[in-house]
Amino acid sequence: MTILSDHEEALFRAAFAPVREIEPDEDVVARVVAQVGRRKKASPRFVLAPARPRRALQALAALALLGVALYSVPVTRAAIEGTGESVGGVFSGWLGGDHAEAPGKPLEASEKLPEYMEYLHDSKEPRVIAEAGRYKLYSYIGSAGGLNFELGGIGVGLGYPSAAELGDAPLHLLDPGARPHADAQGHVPLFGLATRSVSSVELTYESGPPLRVSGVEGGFVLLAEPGRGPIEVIALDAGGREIGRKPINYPLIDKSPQPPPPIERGGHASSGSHEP
Amino acid sequence: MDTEPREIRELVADQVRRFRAGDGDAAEPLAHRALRMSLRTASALMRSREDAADVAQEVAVDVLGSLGKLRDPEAFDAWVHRITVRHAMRRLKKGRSTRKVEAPLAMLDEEGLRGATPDSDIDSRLAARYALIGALSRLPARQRMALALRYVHDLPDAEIATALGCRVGTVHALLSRGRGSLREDQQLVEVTLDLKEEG
Repeated sequence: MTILSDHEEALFRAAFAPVREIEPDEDVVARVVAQVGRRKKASPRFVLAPARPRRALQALAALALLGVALYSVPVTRAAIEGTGESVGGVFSGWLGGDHAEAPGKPLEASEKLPEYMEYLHDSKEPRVIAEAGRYKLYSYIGSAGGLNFELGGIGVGLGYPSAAELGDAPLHLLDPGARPHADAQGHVPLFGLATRSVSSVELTYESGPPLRVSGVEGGFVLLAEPGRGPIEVIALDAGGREIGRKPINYPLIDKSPQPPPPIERGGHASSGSHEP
Repeated sequence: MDTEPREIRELVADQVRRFRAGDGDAAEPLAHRALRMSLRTASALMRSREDAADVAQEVAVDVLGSLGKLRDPEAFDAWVHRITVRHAMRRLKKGRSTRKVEAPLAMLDEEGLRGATPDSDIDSRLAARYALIGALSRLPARQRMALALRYVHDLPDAEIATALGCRVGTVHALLSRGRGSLREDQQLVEVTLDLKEEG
């Protein structure tokens, strides 16, 4: 690491000084507030209506679904009957304080958390939900009771105020945004969650055979090959029947030019600071 | 390292909680904060004022629209930085293919500066602004981003790593290389020295 002199540090700070004074126009602030207001009205994730009408609507929707489900396949019926059959259901018991319902497995005694989790003040009860290669999907309950995921190996965390935020689909992909580049093996990890009926997942590509991973228990990590054009993840039950699918509708690799891998100096070559 | 006072963070966290609970009055201060932070970052990265303003607006809308996912209300600023990085990287990529370099760049509104500041100060600041943008534009995007987060927002390495989605060691390397390049930019060093002497 380079040691900066006070003089150099002052130079850099002075160079950026003009930017630190910029203020947004109030017109733009008002425009943003209006735009967010419109989005909230349109999005079911941010319904601000009183709870009672919402519950009534949900009850009506559930009744309608139940009616349809009577004539549907068993797995659909299982999904609306409840516990554990939505991605949120996998985590709701644990979040509610039932440790027997905790998904995944606890950290082994000798297992060290990634450095970016150690400084989190609320990394309580971390669990390993899935792993592949050197990538691990961790979950833990935050200090405010929220559900958190850490995508081990890429240093990204995602938080949800409640398990219900994960939705009721059988699959949920945890999108960390485009990675700067694939790892040395040409892989980009795809992290996801799945209901308990999902026992394997399949990643399909534009070219070549799909990647299938078995033994899924609540979540998965897939080592995707971005060069083959990943299309979607398909969830399968123990009998190989499809339960659901999710398209991969975000870029896995950021195509903008990246700096070459950093070279550690001063005897820190083994500190593992390289991003995958 | 300069950090946000505790009272400010608690105030912002309270606004986040109120916003989530449906209090419309909390939207305006949060939008203002998200816009200001992202506009400053984007202004250090983009080659045009319009691009910086576009990115800031997209970020602010996204931040407020996704506050339901924020696990810790006190982490509002980190949330803004992370979303800013994502939008700015996309815009930088898009800009290279669709836009020519535009004339006078980002940063402060020159007209806004005049009247409130002595002319000599304005000249120095404008010169520093142009020199900085010139020097930064020659750096890889992630080095630029790391430098902006450090010197615009005073973020420590761990918070820059969170925003960029990389490890702390990677941030050390990005900052070290970026500083090395800025240090060698003679024009930037000269105008910055002028600015320091006047300041």
